[in-house]
Amino acid sequence: MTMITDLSLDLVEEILSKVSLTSLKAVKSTCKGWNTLSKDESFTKKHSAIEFPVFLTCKAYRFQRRFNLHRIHNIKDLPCIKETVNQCDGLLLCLDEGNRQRLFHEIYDFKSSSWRGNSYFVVDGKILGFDFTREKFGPFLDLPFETHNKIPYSCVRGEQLAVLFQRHLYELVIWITTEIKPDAVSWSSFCKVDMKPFLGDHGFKVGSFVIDKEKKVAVVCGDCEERRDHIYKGQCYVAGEDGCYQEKTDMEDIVISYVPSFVQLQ
Amino acid sequence: MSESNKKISLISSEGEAFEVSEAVAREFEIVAHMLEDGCSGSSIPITTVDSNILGKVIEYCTKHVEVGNVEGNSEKAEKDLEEFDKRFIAVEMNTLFSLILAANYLNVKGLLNIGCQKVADTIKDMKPEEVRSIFNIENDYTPAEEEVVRKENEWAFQP
Repeated sequence: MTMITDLSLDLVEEILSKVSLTSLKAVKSTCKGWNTLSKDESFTKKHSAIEFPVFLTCKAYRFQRRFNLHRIHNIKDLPCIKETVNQCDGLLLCLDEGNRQRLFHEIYDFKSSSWRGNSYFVVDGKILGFDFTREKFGPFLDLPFETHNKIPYSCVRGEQLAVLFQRHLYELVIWITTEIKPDAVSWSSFCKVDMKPFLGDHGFKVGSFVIDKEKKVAVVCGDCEERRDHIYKGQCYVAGEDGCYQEKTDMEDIVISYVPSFVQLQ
Repeated sequence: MSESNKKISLISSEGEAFEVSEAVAREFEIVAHMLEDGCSGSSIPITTVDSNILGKVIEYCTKHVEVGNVEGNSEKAEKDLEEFDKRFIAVEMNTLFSLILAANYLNVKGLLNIGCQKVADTIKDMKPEEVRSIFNIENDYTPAEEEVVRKENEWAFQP
């Protein structure tokens, strides 16, 4: 009669590396040998090559899903991803099933089957960093201003995080990180834009934005409100310190921001 | 006789001979290497694997060679093969471990993979006590140590 104890350590490692991450706690609690094994570097490597956590964004909601790559040969086999919109440089944008408006963003480096560094979220006026190596969230970090509203944020060249604060409806203040780690952040002011001359009496709600550091401009996308009952969706402005340079309309499906992920700079 | 029709005898630990085509025997990487190294004998002893398990491994390899030879309609063939694999590894734990050991020794990667996955899937939804009893593993933790490990592994973020 052959038992698991007859198997070599390599084979046990092979088996345990196929156990999903969420079930690993049972593995670790089984016996000391398995606990030691599961902390081993070669085990972790093997394991993370097979399974990885994924953050999905769907408008205001964020989900975490764990995907097992082992039995997935094609990205379209991933549960809940029905359409791949764009894939470049390890960044994958996906659409949810049946609803083109709901955009899922996923950042995953398929070439090396591993996550790149950390991801950051803005939650209830604080920044929250997720360290993919340790699979742990950092502490809540401060934004450069106080707010409890949902605020737009974007990634700058995969290295920095930018946040946008909309003051008195017309003033847009953008901050950029000078340093960011899951447990520490510092900020500098990027630019302030007065939208009043451009918007007139219209209200404007920023949905997303991206910035160009060298040109010191931001592409800001959102909805314009003329009267209570009349909303122009997908207004897009190229704006800098001197005000707005350009306006485009009906850009809703074109301008998007994505959940930033960073290469860990150490 | 053409290369693909050549027969090779694989001899189990009990001395029983299993005659297979060279293509099937080559699925055992260990045998493929022997053949490449010029070991031209028509019978190869597999001393660490008994007849029951050797028979099963041959069954697995034969099926995979057959499907690999079919041209066209590959999607259906893939599905069939998946179904076959699923049925093939739906065996008792001790047989599964024997298959894993044999697949590892003979270097049949596909079988090793599905075997290990099957064991992992069995562990997946179990409590530590169940894992221990199914796999006959002794609990070498003291209650205090076990509590520490359990605490360490409480996840900050559940999926």
